[in-house]
Amino acid sequence: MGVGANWTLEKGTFEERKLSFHFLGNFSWILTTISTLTKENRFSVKCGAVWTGEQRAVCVGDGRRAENVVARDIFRAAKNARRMCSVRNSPNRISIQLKVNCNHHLSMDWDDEYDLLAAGGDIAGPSFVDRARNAPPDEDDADVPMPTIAPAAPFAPPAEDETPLQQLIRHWINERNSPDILPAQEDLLVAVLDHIRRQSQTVQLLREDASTSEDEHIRIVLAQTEMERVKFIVRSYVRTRHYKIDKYARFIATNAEIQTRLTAGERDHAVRYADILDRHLYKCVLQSLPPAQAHLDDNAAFVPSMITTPDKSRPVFVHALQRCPRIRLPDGTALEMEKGHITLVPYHVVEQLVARGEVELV
Amino acid sequence: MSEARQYGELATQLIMESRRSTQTDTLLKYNDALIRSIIREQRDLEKSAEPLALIDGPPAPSLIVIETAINRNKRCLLAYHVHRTDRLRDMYWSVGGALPHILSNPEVRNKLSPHEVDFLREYHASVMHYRSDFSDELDIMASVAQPPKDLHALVRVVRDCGWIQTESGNINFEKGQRFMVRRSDIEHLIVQGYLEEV
Repeated sequence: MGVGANWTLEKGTFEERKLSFHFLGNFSWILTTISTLTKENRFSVKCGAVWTGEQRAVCVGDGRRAENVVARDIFRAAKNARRMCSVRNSPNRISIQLKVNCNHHLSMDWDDEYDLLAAGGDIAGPSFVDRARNAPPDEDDADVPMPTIAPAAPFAPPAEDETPLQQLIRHWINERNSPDILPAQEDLLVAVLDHIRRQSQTVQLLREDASTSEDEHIRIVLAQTEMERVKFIVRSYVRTRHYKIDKYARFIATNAEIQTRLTAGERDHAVRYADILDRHLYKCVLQSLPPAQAHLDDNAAFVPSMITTPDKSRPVFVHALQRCPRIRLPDGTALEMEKGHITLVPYHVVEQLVARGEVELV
Repeated sequence: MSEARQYGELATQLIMESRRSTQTDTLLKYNDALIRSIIREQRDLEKSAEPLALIDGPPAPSLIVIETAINRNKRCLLAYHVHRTDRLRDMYWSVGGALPHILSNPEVRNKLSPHEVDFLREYHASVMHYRSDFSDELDIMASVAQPPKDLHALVRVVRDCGWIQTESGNINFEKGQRFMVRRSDIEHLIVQGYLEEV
């Protein structure tokens, strides 16, 4: 699959370009590339349109408003266009038309870019379709118990043969029960989301295939429900982390150790939020106070710190997944947990065990 | 204003207000007047502390009392505001990040200070930025209260919300109608109170 576009943009110009590709191809990388370039401030997209064949399907942004068109909106539009294409089965090319304001000189070959990206992936359009078309029962069977098929994802599973979903559930429960922010599971999340995406493409194709039988439709519905449920877990996991990040934003912004446990996006948000909160407090309170009082870093005696930190002494229930080494309890005695043992201890006592995956929080 | 007021009495009122807000689980109106009077108190305290701080030797007991009052008032002021921002954040997430929905509601809008509106806007921008890191498959703004049990939901339209694109084509949701639709397509409308699950 190729785009066959070669972009050379001069700094300061306002140009209109079109990217055209086969509708079955995986175009998410195009949008990813566009959004990366926008983020790097190489150019800003003023408006976009999606074409199916020769017909203009959807317009995004009118080019007059100040703000940029978000790659996400274009993506939505393109996805709908693709859906229409596969229903009508007619024009088999989709194009994305962009009007961009170029901020830096840019020269790139989209096909080269794609080859680079695809080198590691498995996104060969036609072969994927063939797979889905030729083996519906198999694919379908595999679809239903979504948790049991391990995706060929580029991450190393831990020694136990847990499926990604089981791992995700474990991390999700840990995250929800831990007072501190646990290390981000970025690879796992990417793998699960990739898997969901592939599966929804398969489902989409099967739904539109007239030869799919009634029985299979029921299975599709089951697969879709399961996907929704997995998405729910991912969402809840992400939101739990997000909640803690907001809560401890000012601590995160000043602490390098905790930042290593966050993804780049989470870190950026934490820093931004800490800044927003600081400015908000400054505008509401501090700027009206006499200068001697207008600080946010008072360190008065007998007063809790002004920076909220995770309360690691909060008690948590732990469930030993294996025999654990001796841990020292706050009162000086030692505790050795057998596999399956459940106990209630302060979080800081078992922090290391959680990090090593020897226990899980329940 | 009576002169016989104790130091920090106003700040206590402020904290009581935060506590009431938590207990009744409502956002109370931003208490601008009270905050202004506390800030005035802070300035007065600062003024009376200045001459005492210039005295040589160990700090005068009255200085320590005033310093403590200053610190306490300040922490109360900050606590009040942080408590409010926490509530605003909760509110923001409970409507699925639909900021216009919050701001166009006059009942809520009246309770916010202008700075708080700015705060919400900036917070919204930051969250939107964060959200764009996720693939289009997953909308992190959607509800996390109830795990999905069904793919579809039977909904009743409570308020007109116009044409909505769903899996089964565009639907014009008009008040009083009932639809069976894909849950993920309309979940945000339920959250915002346009639709009601039957």
